[in-house]
Amino acid sequence: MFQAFDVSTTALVAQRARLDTIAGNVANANSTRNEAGEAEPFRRRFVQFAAADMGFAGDGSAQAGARTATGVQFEVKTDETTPLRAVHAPGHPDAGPDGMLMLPNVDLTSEFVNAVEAARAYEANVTAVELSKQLAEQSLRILG
Amino acid sequence: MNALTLAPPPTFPGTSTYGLSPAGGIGAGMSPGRSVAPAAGPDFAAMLADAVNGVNANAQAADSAATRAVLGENVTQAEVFTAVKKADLSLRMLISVRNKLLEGWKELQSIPV
Repeated sequence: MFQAFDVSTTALVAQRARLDTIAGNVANANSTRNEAGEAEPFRRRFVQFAAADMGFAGDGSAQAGARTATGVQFEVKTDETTPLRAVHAPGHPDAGPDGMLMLPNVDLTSEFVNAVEAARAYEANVTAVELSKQLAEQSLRILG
Repeated sequence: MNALTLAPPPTFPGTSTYGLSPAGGIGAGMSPGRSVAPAAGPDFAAMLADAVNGVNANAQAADSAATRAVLGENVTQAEVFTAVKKADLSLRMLISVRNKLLEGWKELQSIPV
């Protein structure tokens, strides 16, 4: 009966994780060292989404294969392909012998666009939950 | 009517799954297009007991979600709120059924013998 709630919840959790990841990217936009303190520039992280089978929607009978509820699952990945930003910063402790400093491959503009999109997706899923809620409440009126 | 079998909750990497347990509750055990013959399937009392257990499970899930959130575990607001809303809705549905039952019983009682 509450499958729609569960599906929407997985989406809410996933979008929340996406926002967390974006926040981490923005926070580390200038980090030239990793968690261990080694001179290794931070690499942009992103969230990869995938469909997740959540059992049967509707009446739960095995015949309802086509009506399987599909949630969303996610995995946090590291962007290794986008090149790092190189800036001339002689004197920086992490700069190379040529004075070039490698900065993370974080592009603030696209991060913010992503953040807005994630927030809107979250909003859309909250609306879906709202509708499921209304549906359940309306159904209660049948019993009256 | 066939007993309802729900798939086990999925396990997602990076997602706590407690809030995603297949919802029990009243209505579990109802399937459309069931035969009217009362011989097969659980009787009404068993179904009602099942429903009460399901509602209880939902309430406990909501409770543990709230506790874990307050304790600072890795639980998102969305999971807590959905669990609470699920518990709320299933409880209200159970109460509606109970009220309807009582109504029927009172109706019966008022039949002059």
